[in-house]
Amino acid sequence: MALSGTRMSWLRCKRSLGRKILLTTNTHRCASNDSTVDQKEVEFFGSIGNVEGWWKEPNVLLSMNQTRVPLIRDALTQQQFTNVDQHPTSCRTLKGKSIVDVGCGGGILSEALVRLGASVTGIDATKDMIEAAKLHASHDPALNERLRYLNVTSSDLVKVEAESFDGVVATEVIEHVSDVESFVTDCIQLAKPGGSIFITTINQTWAAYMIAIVLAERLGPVPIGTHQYEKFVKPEILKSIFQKNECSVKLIQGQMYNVFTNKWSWASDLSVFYAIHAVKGS
Amino acid sequence: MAMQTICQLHNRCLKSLATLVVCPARSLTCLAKKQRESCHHHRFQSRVRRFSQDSSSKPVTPFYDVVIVGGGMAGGALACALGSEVTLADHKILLLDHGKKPPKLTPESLGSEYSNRVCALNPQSKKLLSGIGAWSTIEKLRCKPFHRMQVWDACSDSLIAFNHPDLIQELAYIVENNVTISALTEQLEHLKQGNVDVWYETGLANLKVPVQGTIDQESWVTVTLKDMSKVKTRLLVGADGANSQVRKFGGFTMTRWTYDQSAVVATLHLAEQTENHVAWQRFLPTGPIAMLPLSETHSSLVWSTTHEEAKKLLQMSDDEFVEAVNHAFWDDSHHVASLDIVTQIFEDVLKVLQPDDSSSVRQLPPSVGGIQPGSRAKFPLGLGHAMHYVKPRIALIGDAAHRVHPLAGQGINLGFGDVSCLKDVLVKCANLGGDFGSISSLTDYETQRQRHVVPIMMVIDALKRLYSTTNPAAVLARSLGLQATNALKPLKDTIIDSASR
Repeated sequence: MALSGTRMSWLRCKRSLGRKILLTTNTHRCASNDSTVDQKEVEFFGSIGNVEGWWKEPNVLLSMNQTRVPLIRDALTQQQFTNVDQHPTSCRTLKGKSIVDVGCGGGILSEALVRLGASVTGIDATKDMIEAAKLHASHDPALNERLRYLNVTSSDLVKVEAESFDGVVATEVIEHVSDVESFVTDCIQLAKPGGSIFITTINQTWAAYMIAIVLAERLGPVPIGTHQYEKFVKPEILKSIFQKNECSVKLIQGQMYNVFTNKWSWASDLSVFYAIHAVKGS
Repeated sequence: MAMQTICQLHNRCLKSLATLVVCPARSLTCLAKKQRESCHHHRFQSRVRRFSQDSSSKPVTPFYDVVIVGGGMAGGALACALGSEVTLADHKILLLDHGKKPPKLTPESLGSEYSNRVCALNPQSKKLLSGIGAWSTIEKLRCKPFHRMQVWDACSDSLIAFNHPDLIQELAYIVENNVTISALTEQLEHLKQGNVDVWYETGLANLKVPVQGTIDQESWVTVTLKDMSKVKTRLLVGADGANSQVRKFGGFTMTRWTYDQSAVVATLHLAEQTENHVAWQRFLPTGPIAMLPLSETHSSLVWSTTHEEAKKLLQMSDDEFVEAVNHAFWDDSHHVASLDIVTQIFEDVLKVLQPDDSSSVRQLPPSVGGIQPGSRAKFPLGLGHAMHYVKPRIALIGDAAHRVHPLAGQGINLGFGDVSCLKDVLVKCANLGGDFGSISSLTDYETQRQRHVVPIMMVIDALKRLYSTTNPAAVLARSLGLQATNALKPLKDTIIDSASR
């Protein structure tokens, strides 16, 4: 029973990723005007997209807030990263910080960051998704004028709000992008000098292949074709893109997901899921 | 900055227009909701209470992050704990109690009379109450620490005694319930963050939890009060006791049975003044009788017995009652002579093995000289355990989640344990920017507490059953077991330790 619940949530997670591809591929269509869009993939994810199921629990993306929120929170408040979640000493720890959530989907991460006091811009190229995120947030009196959702691509936003954000967040998006480098460059451009860029994604290793493709898709409930091994990104590649763009990489940390407890935790092992934090040169 | 604001406005207008075109009906409800919410914010800022109305005189439903139903010890402590947590300063808490505001007690108003309803608060409960600032008030008012506890069998000579070495450290404190409540009420009024509202004389009429995880409708609990006004909240906490309305309306399954026993309580005058720092409990075949110290001259009685005997105990005269209590502690008529020989031999063997163990020496309870007039009362006993302590947007604490026999004095201590745990879980949730009513975070509370509560409930229930019989085999087994446990210091320390957590 519990397992099937988790399976469903994994499916929903992957469906949500489908939405994000629409964003990222669109981004590159606009940014470079050449066809970096994998139309097949867009159609594949478009066909299984499910806006309604986004907020149902148990939920892999919601539980991923257990690791990604402290990472962003502590980095933006200049706290040393630790594997153990430290309790802040005040409420609204992110007060005064502006963050853009690139590929925000239904707003699972955006809403959490607003509750911590940040001003958040969630962007997603999928109109349905942005409308769903707005509708979900509209019911919550704690989510006020500090949250805005825009139905734009990251390159659209770069044109009007480059160098505007203390934090740029792209989680579980980049493994579906066909041109990783221009996507990461967009993210860097959105950050203020000295601002932070956070990316979480899947490594290109045999272990990631076994877990994300063989276990989750071939043997598990995730639709076959959700992930493509060649699109997984090695941390060294991201690291070199950041360095080329005068960003200093502060942290590369592995993440682990426990299917049975629906919990994410930090790990030293980078071979499957990992997070990267870079700071833009000032 | 200006550009950003313009963008924001522009985007909002566009969104409103777009939705109007695409789906007029939905957008209208959306706009109406938005309007309500913005008024709602205004209400918070102006701190207008409960029946505030917006400009178009539509009633506004108040919204709270946490609504606690039941202003007893557990509910009051949770409200204080959440209200004094700095990381929750921007969260609105509401405590609902169907009763009148409890009177503020002072050492003078307490006088020489004692309440017949008392609890034994263990060190962990003391720690919680100290943390929220209520313990100092309790100490100023009235409480009595005890350093030793002696438990013995009416059917044999076996006994067990608990104490820390040298009798310095307290095992627990006997505190009258109204003292704890008064201290919590006072603390609620002095919370500096000002984010806790308390509504007295407010009963729960119904509650509604919508389907969770949908996007087009809100997911908050709507609480309907007795006066038909409504309150919305992210998380509803049922702290409303063994007959919890929150549990009932929330559709929680409860495992429960009655013990066919009543507890008779009374405030006793001791025959002579003593140091009175020992809690006494004797297992009679009809149920355990306990005498808990209140002062050098007073003790509190908790006597669990059959309904018939309880009825008789309430009807008899004060003098007869005093005689019955003394008889219950001193009477040896349940002893089985042959078993006494066995337990005596076993005791001698243990003495040879552990010659200088002074802590387990038998002490004699003080004689009762009288009873505070009008302090006798009785109430039925039972066991209850909710299958789940949480559901989406609802959590149960204290007796609403678990009810135990008073023989181990654990009831409220388990409740205060729930309070500490739920507070920690909510703080963690807030620090992750989470939603308090999310089942994923509430499950952490349930898992941690059930791991702690269920074993304790089972031990208490087993003890109750083991001591309810006069069958010689059972008496022998429990007597030898008790003697052996008493002789094994590490085992006893473990018991003290687990009873104080």
